[in-house]
Amino acid sequence: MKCRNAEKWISTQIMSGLPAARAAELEMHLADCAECRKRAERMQRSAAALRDTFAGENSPDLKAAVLARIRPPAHPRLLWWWGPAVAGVAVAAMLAVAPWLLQPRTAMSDQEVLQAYSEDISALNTANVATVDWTTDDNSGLYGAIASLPAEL
Amino acid sequence: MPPLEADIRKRFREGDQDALREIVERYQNSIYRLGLRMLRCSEAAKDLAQDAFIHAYEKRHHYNHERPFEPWFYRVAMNLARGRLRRRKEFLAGEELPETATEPTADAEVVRQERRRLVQAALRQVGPKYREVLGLRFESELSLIEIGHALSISLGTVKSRLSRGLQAFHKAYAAVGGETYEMS
Repeated sequence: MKCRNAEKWISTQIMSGLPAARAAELEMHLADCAECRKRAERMQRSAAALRDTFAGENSPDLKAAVLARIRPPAHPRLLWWWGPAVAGVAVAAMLAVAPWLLQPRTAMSDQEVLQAYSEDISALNTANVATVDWTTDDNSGLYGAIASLPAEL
Repeated sequence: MPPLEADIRKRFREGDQDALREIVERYQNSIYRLGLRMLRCSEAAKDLAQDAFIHAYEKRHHYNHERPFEPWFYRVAMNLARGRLRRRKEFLAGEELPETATEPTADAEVVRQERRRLVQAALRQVGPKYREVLGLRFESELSLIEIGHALSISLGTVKSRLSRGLQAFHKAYAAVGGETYEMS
């Protein structure tokens, strides 16, 4: 090993360790080279100074200050079931009204239509309509009743 | 420092404030010292420590509680510290030395303060990327792998930066008279 490589190897050995073979090589070099040995000792002292400098430096207690500044989670227990619950209610409501929505609309028979017309006309106080016999197919009375309606109707 | 227990990690992830309290209790000194080493000011270090805990709590959804807490947390703290260094234009010369927390009251305290002053003066000469790894190694006692995770760098880069960081500090420490001080 050359002395110019020693500094790098010494600092690596101090900070993170060298592979065994390289550590042994460095050890042999330091045994033979007084200059590098002194260099290694000085670097060890620097590392110790660096390590120890802030060792006794404690932080003020930050717990109260930190906890005062945080925002608590927004109802974490509520959040996990709130969405599914709303979805469930919506589905139940849809199922409840589905039969009514899907029910086929029945058309009125001719008889029912005529009956409704009759009721409407009766409401208009047309006297002749009441004489129509709705139970037969003879609708001449109806036609007569319609013909007698006031023109403005 | 032993790694954070799984139960606390899980509760922290769920937003439990008691878990946060335990985390602050456990890591506040370490983060504060890291801040001192990085920012070199006790007030700035205190602010950094507070903000690191709050930021971590607000970003806890990004943390996988099945993995170790320390590398993730120190990455949050280091990113905050880097941002503050950028804003302070860290690399410009002429910054004041950090204030001392207490007045020296005895010879031993005077010696300690003087040594710390020299170390800080030397650290000022060391590049931030080296200060980061030195801080994480000495203050936070992270393993080399954890430092790599915290800084998103490879294990080889961690080793290289630690080695070069020590060399740079050693030269700077000698230049400010620290080596003479150590010999005396």
